[in-house]
Amino acid sequence: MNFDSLQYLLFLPAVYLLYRLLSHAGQNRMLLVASYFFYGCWDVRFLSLIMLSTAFDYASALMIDRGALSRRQGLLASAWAVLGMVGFAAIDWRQLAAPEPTGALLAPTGIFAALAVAAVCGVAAAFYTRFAALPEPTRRRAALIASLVVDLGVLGFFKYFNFFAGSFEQLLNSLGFEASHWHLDVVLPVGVSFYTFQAMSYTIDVYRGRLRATPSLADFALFVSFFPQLVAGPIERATHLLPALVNTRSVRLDQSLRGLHLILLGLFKKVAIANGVAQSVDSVYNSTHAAGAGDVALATLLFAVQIYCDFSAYTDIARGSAKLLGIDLIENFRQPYFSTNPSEFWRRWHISLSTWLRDYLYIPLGGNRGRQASTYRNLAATMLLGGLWHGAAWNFVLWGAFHGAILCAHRFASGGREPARGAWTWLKLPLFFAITCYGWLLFRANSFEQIAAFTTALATGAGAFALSIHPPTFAALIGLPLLFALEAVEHVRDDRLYYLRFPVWTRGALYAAMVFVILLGTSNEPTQFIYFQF
Amino acid sequence: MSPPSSSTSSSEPSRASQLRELSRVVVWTLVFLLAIDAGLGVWLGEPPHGPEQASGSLQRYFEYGRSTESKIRSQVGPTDALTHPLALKGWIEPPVGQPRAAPAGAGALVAVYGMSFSANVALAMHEQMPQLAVRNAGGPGATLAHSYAMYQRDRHEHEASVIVLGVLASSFPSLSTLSHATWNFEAPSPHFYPRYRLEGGALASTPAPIASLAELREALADPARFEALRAALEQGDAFYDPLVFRESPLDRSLIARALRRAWGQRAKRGTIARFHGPDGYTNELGAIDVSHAILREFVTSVRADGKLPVLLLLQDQGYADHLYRAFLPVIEATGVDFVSTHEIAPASDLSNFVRDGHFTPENDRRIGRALGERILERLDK
Repeated sequence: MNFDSLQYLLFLPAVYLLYRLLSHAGQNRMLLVASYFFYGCWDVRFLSLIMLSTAFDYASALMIDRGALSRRQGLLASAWAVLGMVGFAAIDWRQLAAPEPTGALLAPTGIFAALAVAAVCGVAAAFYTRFAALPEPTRRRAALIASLVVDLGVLGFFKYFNFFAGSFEQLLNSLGFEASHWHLDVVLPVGVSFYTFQAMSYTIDVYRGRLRATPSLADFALFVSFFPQLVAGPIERATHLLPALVNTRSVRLDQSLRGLHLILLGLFKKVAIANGVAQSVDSVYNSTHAAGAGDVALATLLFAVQIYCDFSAYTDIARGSAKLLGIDLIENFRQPYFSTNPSEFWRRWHISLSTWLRDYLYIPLGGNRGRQASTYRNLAATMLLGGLWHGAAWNFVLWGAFHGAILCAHRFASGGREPARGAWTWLKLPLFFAITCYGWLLFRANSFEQIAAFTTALATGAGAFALSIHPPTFAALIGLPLLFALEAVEHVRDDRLYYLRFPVWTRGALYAAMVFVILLGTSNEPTQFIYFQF
Repeated sequence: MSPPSSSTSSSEPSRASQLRELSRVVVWTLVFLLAIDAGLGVWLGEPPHGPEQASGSLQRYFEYGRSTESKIRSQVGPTDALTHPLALKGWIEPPVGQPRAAPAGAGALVAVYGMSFSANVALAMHEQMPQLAVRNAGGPGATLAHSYAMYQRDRHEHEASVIVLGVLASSFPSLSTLSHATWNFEAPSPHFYPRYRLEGGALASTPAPIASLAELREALADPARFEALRAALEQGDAFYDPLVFRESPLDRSLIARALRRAWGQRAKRGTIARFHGPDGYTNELGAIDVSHAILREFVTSVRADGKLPVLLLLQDQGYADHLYRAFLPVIEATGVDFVSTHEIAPASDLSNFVRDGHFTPENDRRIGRALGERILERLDK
């Protein structure tokens, strides 16, 4: 169910109306069901994994924090994991929904997975007393490691197994060894990187003593699966979102209005602009012809527009939807293309991921506490893994390495101090934007050959005026200047609620223009949100 | 049930003033939306009538979402001179102004049935190989059904020794239609053609609901007859969508037109997806079986006339070699000569195409040369 689909247009008001009718406990149960329904709309099998992660992290956190699980909690966690496997992996519901079933109702792999999970639960129950009796530091560390192994195991298997197996196979073949086919036919669950990181931050924070483990499985399950941010973030911290879910909430009118503003802005960015430039980008990046410098430059510039409008639109709609439910999600973007250096860029782009990487990877690696060389190593390693987080492909690793390199270069040049904004800002801004765009070229490219060919074209300027790129749609062409104006005003005023200072009729004109452009944009070829694949 | 916790914590006056402000913003938004709709409508003026073209790209852009029926009514004038060129094209009638026999000095006449893609290729072939004269017959974006019907209608009207059937990959999903106007609602050409199906393994057809432009004029003037046309389309055309087709007062609103266009695109994409996926065509509504039967009948019929049948498979953007793969069983079974563009101008290389989706003139020449060489090679034998 996409945020820009008709289904979501019906789903969100339905959830909102039910929400307003229910008590707090009822709201949370309903939100959990709605979130699982939302996620199951992609593929009902994905629910088995999220339920497994949820059950395991719930139990692990309790073992870390309290050293014990009550009988009820243990049974509940086991039942949740096994139920998820039986209900959504062992039973192939698609066969029931299909007009002409193509296979059996029971999936052998799912049955095997359910039996394996049941066996693990049985073993855990058998060894529980011994485990609980371990010295506290050992028990806490063991529970954390177990939780991380499960989370990273799920992520690694579903997202990276084929990538690493394929790369290893290629390496062996290049060395003259015969490598058999290790490719597994697995589906990448939508949003697995997002909810895994979110769940991991919970157990790590419990381990670090930053929050107490929640005794309610339902509340924790809602924290992991809360539908507005489940599929593409923002990656929430348990210290922020969990209290908002557990505690009684109030829905304020100003918050709801801000939510509606964000939803409209998100639809404007996605439907009118991101979808409107997607075909232009594809006409160069998805073509096998030797593109000239003009085509590459324009397509890359438009991809910078596309990925920002696409991803920030998702965040806007997610935050807007959550606000309607009285929940504030963290900010994920702050006009990133107004950055003048890489350090500033990462404080403005995908903030929830960059702060996650900072808190759970960069700082544990040593951050900038050691020698300069260690700081550079930590920066580079963090960005490299950040790149890999995006997708199982070498160009994402290269993109991460590129950002690691420019962060190191910037740190070297600035001595780790943040340069003051001054007269040079307006020169640095387009220069750094160009550097960012080159990074997007690495990100968007389909192969290393394409990266080499496009880089050569840009470096030599070959074919600068021979343009074959498809022009953006009319909606994108008129939407883009409007968006730029809004972003510039917000940036200059440094005020997220800048539009509230406009006279009422100006706001009316602004919303009318946005609605009109969205309506024109509805004819654009719909595209999946780019970050769904991560 | 306990009382909802979602209560407002802020003070009532503040909430009341916020509500007042919200209602004012909503009113202003609606006022501006209406102003945009009406203002643009006045600025762009009336839709073009008869042979007139939309005066600018903006007017054309907003015309895309007008109902198909409204567009047809504005295209079709009382006489051919007062009718838009799109409405004159594609009728299943022998082509006007095309040679009936090879001119003196030319080696052979090649009759080509298809669409603009095939016509461009045929003309490029003739330019390079003047000994091959060309008789082009077809319609905008013609489907296989249209081309085959055109061939049958024109079969005895000329003395061509080579018959080329052009098939366009992107038109293949429209095999189960009765008119170009239903599946290309943005720029409809209101001609009609038969729909083919298999009955007991043999090819059968549902005749075109309207056979000529003159008949269409009569139907437009007769509400009962036009209603019968709508009913025929609803029953027999996989792409027909009443929301897109039917004229309504909402045609006057630019916003309504934008919404109709989006709806139409969505419906069209959904229908195409039934017939074509990432790996090629599906056999939805027996499309592949019917197309195979058409091709077999075509080859048999042309050979029975003592002529050379040739298939021209035009794989345009987004269709890779799907047409070739779909037709390979028939090609192998009948041994029919063919030229497929997927090896000459691959669809994956977008520089092979111009903006409107046609092949570049250079590629028309390359495909034309390949077609001509294949024909000459077979004629020499």
